[in-house]
Amino acid sequence: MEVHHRLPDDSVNVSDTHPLKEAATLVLGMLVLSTVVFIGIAFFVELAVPLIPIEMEAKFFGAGWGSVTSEMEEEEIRQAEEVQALLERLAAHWPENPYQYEVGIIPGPPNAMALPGGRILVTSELLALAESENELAFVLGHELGHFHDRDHLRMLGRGVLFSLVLATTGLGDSNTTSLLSLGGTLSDRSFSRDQECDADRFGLELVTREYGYAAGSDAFFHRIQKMEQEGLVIQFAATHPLSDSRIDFLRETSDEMHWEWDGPLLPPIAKPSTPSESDPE
Amino acid sequence: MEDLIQIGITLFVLLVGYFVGSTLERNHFKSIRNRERASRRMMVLTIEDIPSDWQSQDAGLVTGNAVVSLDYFKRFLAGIRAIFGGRIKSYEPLLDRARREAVLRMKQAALDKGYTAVINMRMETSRLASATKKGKSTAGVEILAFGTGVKLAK
Repeated sequence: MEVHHRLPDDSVNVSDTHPLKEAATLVLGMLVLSTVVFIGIAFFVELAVPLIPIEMEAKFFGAGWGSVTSEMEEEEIRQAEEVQALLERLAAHWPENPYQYEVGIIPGPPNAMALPGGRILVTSELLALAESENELAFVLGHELGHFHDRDHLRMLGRGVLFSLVLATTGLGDSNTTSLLSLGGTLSDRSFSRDQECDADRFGLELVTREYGYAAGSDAFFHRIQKMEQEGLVIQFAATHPLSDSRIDFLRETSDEMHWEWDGPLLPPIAKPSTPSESDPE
Repeated sequence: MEDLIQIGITLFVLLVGYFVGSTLERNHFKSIRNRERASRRMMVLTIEDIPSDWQSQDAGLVTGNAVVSLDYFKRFLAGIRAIFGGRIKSYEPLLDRARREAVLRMKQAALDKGYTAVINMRMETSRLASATKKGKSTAGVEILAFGTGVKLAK
C-alpha cells in the first residue's frame, strides 16, 4: 500500500462567517424576538385590563397601604387631607370616575405615584417645594390620568407577564437574559412614554377645567429640569420623557385645544408648618 | 442609567473576550499548521490492521489529548443560538483546534517513542462538568486522540 503525506483539511470543519457578523445577526434576532414577545404581552394586557373590575383591583392591591398610612405623622395626615380635597375637586371634572381616592404622604424627592386601587402617593418634598396650588393640581391631574387609562395595571401586568415568560421558557438563567430584558426594557420605555404623555394631557385638561386656565402646570417640570441640571435627580428621567419635551408638549396641547394658559397662580396648599430639611431656603 | 452601566459592562467583557479569544485562536491555528507541516511524514491512519505488505518491528498505545474552553464571546453567541437553533458557528473553530491539537500531540507521543506511524487512530470527546450549577454547566471539552503506534521496517 502506498501512502501520500497530505496535510489535514484546513477549512471544511470551520464556517467562514465572520464571528462579528454572526454576533450582529444573533443579537438583532434576539432584540426582535424580545420586542415581539413584549408587544404580544402588551397587547394581551391591553385586552385584559378593561376586564378587571375596579373593586377587584382595590382588593387585590390593597395590601401594604396600611403601612403607608400608619407611618404618617399628624402633620402628614393633615397634608394628605388637603391634597385629597384638591384631588377630589379635580376628579369631579372626570364624570365617569370609578375610583375612590386615598392620598398618602411619603418622604423622598419630589414625585407622585399612582398605585392600583385609587391610591396616590405624594412625597413630602413635592409639597414642600410646590410654589402654587396649580403646580400640585397638575401633578395630581397627571396621576388621575394614569387611573383614567389604568396605566398602573398595564405596567404591572406587562412586568409580571414578561418575567413569567422568561422564567417558564428557562431563558431566565442564561447569558442571554440581559439581552432579552434589554429588548423588553426598550419596548417598555416607549410604552411608558406614551402613557406619560396621555396622562399629561389628561391632567392638563382637568386643571384647565378646574381653574379655567393652565398656568403653573409646567412648574413641576421646570423644577425637575433644574434639579436634573444640578445633578440631583437622575432616576426620574429613566422612566419619564425629558422635562423639556414635556413642557413643550403641555404648551402645544394647550394651544391646540384652544385652552387658556395664563392666569393667576393660587397660593400653595398642604405646606408643612415647619420648614422641612429639604427646603432649599 | 443603571441599565446603561450594565449593558456597558457586558459589552466590554464581550469585546475583551472577542479580541483576546480571536488573537489566541489565530496564533493557535498558525502554530497548528506549522506543526502539521513539520510532522507530515508521520502517518496517521484509521485502518485496524497493518497492510500485509508492511513489516512492523514494534507497536504500542499512543495518546494525545486537548482540553478546550470557551471565551465569553463564543459562549454568548452559543447562548443565543440555543434559542434559534442552527449551527453553533462560534464553537466550530474551537473544536477544530482541539481535534487537530490532540492529533498533533498523539503524533508527538508516537515520535517520542520511536514509532513511524499510527494506525487504528480513534477520537473521543467528553464534556468536563463545571463545579458550579451542580455540574449542569460545561467547564470545557476534552478531545482524546489515540491509536496504535507502529515502527515500520524500511
